[in-house]
Amino acid sequence: MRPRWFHGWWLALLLPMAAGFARLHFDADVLSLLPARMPAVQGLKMYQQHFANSRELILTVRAAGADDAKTSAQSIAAHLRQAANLVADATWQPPWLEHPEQMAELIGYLWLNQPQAVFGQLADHLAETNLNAVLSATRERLATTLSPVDLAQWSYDPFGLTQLPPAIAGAAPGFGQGQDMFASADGAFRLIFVKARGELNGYRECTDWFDAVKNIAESSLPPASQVTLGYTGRPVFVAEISASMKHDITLSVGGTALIIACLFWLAHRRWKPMLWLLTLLALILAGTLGLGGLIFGAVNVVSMGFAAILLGLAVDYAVVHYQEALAYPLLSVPEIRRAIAPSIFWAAMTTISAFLVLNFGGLPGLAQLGSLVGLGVALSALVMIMAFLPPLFPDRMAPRASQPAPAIEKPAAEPLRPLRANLVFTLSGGLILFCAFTLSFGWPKMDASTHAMEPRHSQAYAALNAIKEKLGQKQEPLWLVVAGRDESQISERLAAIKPVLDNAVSNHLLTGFTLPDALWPRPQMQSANRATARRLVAESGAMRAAALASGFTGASLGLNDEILQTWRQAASTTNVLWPSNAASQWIFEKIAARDPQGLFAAGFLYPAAQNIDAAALARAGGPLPPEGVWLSSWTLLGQAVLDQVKHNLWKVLPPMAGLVLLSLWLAFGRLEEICLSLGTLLLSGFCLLAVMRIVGWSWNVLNLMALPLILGTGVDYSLFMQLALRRHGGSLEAARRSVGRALWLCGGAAVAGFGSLGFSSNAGMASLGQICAVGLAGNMLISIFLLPVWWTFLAGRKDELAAAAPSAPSQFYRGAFWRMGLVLARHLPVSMVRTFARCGAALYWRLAPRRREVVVQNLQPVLNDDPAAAALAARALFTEFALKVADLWRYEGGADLDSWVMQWKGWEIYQTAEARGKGVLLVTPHLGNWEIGGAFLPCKGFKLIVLTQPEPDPVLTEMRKASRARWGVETIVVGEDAFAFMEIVKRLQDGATVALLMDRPAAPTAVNVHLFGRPFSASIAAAELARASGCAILPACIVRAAGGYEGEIRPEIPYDRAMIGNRAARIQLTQEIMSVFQLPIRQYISQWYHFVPIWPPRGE
Amino acid sequence: MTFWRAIFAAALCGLASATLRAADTNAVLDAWFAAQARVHTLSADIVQTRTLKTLVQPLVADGHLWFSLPNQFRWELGRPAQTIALRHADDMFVIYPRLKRAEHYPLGASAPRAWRDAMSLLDAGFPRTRQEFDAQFQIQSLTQTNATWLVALQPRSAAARQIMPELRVSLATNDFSLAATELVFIDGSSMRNDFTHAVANAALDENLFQWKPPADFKVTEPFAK
Repeated sequence: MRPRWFHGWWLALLLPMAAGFARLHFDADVLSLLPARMPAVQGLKMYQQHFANSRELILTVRAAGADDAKTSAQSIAAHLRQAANLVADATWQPPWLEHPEQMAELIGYLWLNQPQAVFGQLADHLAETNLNAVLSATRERLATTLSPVDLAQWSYDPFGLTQLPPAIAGAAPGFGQGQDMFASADGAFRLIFVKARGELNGYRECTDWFDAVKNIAESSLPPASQVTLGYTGRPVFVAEISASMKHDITLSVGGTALIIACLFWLAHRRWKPMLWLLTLLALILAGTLGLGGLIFGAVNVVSMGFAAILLGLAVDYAVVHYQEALAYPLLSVPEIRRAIAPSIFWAAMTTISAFLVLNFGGLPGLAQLGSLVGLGVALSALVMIMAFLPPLFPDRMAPRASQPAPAIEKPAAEPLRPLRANLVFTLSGGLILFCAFTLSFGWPKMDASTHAMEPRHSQAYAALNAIKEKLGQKQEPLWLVVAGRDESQISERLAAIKPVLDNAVSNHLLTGFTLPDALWPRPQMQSANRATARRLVAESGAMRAAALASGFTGASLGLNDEILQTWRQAASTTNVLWPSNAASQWIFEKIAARDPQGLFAAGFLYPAAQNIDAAALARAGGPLPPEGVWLSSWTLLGQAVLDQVKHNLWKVLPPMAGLVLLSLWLAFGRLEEICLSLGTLLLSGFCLLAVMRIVGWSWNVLNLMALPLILGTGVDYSLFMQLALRRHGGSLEAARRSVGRALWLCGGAAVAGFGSLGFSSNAGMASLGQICAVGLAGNMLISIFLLPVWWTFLAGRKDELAAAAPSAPSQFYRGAFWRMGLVLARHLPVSMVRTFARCGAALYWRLAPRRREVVVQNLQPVLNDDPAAAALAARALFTEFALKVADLWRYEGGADLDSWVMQWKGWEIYQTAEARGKGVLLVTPHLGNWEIGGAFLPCKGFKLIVLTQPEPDPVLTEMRKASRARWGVETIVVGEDAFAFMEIVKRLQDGATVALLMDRPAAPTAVNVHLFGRPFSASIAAAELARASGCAILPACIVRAAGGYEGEIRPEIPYDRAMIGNRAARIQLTQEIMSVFQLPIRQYISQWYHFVPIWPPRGE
Repeated sequence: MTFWRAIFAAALCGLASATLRAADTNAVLDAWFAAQARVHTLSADIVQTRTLKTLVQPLVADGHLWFSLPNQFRWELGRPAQTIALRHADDMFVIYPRLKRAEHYPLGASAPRAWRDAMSLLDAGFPRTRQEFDAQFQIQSLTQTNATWLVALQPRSAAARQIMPELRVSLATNDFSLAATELVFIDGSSMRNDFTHAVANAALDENLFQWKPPADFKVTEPFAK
């Protein structure tokens, strides 16, 4: 049989989760963490997207010597090339060294890109009549040159076509140049560029491909080889980051779960709840991930840190439930749920708000983390409220039959020992002094680099750093990305940028720069040069003949033929010419890219110092073109992101601080306690800064966000502790035993959750986790050990607490408000009115701490002076009262009573008494919804007279009187008419039924009786009426139960009219009547509505 | 195709020299090292014959060589000199007086390894110790022809081998003086230097190996990054 708690709506939750999992994918791109609109991020993304080849892996080969490195690199490249299904190309040396003939296309292209006059000069130089002179000069050079370059070039270039104009001479790689891109100066460290055959989109493809390539590379080496290989590049980063995500999740989630299990075991030593807790936590994580997938689609590497944080937070809700279930074994699960759910709701709201505030931090990665945790906390609250207790206490699902709760020994508020007080204040002062002393050496530093976004212990980063070190790339260049709709626009932009950079070099802002302007296609020039190219192609036969005649062999003309072929090809088309062979592609893919939106060119700027950005460049060299130009680098990015985060911190902290202050005000409503909570936060923050200073931690772009998190979650500890101290009447020992233990468990779990992030493979997340863990731990320890003593001294004076208690009904109990309620109840659907009522109750519970305290105090004697149970019941009472008022509005608004479920017990008792014709006095406490019960009597053909006191607002008195009259109920306002008492006696003697409330009498009718063992003021009016009329006294109550309203008429209170002639006997009769109500009051304590103090102070 | 690689290799041949070995390898080498140990400076005429694969006929040019310990040299080709190559410490210049142009090749640690290996071959004709020599070269063969020992060498450096797979050094059998060097390039081209009128240990002007670019000369660094 399906358990009751397993409702169908769980299945409804499963659907979006399943859809989310179908949509979910993981994003290992670090740039996704950053604000997409920031120019530095845009530039970097564009560079990464278009120029950092997403399919390219860089393999590093480190050997003892140059020959070993070269042989190994060559061998690995050869093996990789054989795996044609995996590898499109493996380049281990500059392509133009391996295939020098391919450089001819680039040289031909560069000539064609020149101004018409320059290319024309070449054509004139190679006119048929001048060929012999050209060849003769070449022979002379070859005979006498000692330049390796000249000898190499002229020997195979008798016409001097490789002698490009000076402006572009550096554009084509020189002969023999380029090895420094592939090998270190000593040759012992080499690179191999490996390009994948297909696209590597997802992390799985990257991981599989990388593993396969790694296997081939390693198997290419002899078994005892001393050569070590390293791997970097996008596929490696993606594979590594995805592996580290798995590692992080396993470690942080596993570690946190283990700590939670240990803490739970230590606290309760029970297997079943522990395992059930872990199961639910796992389900919550999976559910959050599924919902996250549904909302975001891609979950970022940093966002996966949500799991550990969420575990630490979600466990609190289960622990609170379980603790209450153990503490109050007579309460059913729904009762516990009703009592706990509101506080969990508010706690969850505060936590969710704290994490959602991260969305204002300006970092999408952290925003997603915040949203995921917020989502997870909401899900946790729901799951823990609905699903945690039922399987653990299956026999407590139904409300129990009424029985008195066992007596719980209430701890007395023990006096504070001077030794303890001295110790705490000395420790507090010592802490402040120590922190101040530590921080006098300086505050924790601000790290503006991007290290926070890098993985820790990354082999890919290690390989990248080795490349930088070995290939002498000590300074990272700035990347300049230029975008345009076509070749001409980019060419114009490059031309505009060049003078700016020249100026920047002149002003020593840059040490140099590389722009692709010389290599970039110039469509207009190509078009203008096509005729000249055709002329040169037409002379190819003459050129060959002249060369052979001058003693050159056919082998010397290979380059010449290839260049002429390029020109021939260009002359036969009108399209823009882009070099297309493998060597050219290898060069061009590093400086040019194309996508459907247009073209991109990349340049490299070498700054003379750090912190050079576009603004500095504009100051030194002039402004860059406003559109289509992005300047970026990781260094620039770090500073820009930090600036953004610092800027946005002021958008995050004030709402967070406001939220904290609001929570504190709603919880305490007292300045002293708010100040103590703030003091706890400040001291823990002070301790955190000192710890950071001592262990050398810095603030960075990610861990700055720890501030709102600590503020949002840490404030709870001081809040719980001070409320516990209030509930326990200032007993430090009782507060420590109840909340102190819970704080250890909940705080320990939260610290474990954040602390486990300290092992994250992402440096920023690790630092965020460490700082949150230290901050929360400090908060928790101060709240447990120091705060209670501070509270005792500064806020725990009972007279102040007592003075704060309100003695009059709420200001809301007025005619205008009542009228508004009637209108709402009349026009809105029942379910909506009830929802409003619940929300209103929850709000009032938070907003009216003094009223809340009064209710708790009123209920304590019923619950054997157990403050915690009273607090639980009080919270439920607020909700019950709101529902009662909602029903009352409906009733007074004229709702059809036939649709109300009403069951009566003891109706025959009433019929018997009524049949005697001597009148019936229905007496009831302020329990349940007595007004509604009254309306049923006229429905059954009996008239009812209700005795009331004047309402706080005369308008309200009249409104309610009129409402009752509509239902056939007559109202007599006692105290309004001096002869009212006589009138009532007369009506009773005539056989009327009169209803009277017993438990909050007007002063003239109040007498002292005992209720639940405590002196209590009850109305003697019932006994007086009995003496005067001889009516039957029937105790009655109408309460709200699960299926509707239940009315109960209890057996008649017997009395001897002759014996109650004296006041003492009537007081005794009053005592007997009140004693009857003890059982229903205890059973339905959450419906015993008193919002002003009803018990005289102890000792009076 | 290997023609481009050959160009690259050939670029070095104008500056290269030779090495040697003996039939009884150790005996000949020991004798050569003993003779070299006595040479501190050398001055000789040269006839350079470039047999290039790209030309039907060899190119012949004459000139003069000066060498001084530890590794200074000055080559002049053409009369008057059309091309001068000189090395001092870790700097090498190739000067074209007629064109008022020069190229600067740093040979220190920051220079490309391939070039440093190739340049180190220039010292092969003037080895200082057997240990240094063996570190640089592997002896392929040693033959005696008429009055000369012909030593065939292979550079140990793979980078150098990619440019010049083989070097040949001819030594006079009577005094182990350097008679000729021949560099064989990867495409089969070769460059032979025949030394005549050699004078050992004559006092040489230090200024021979130093050069300051005149104001009207344009100096480039072909391998500057």
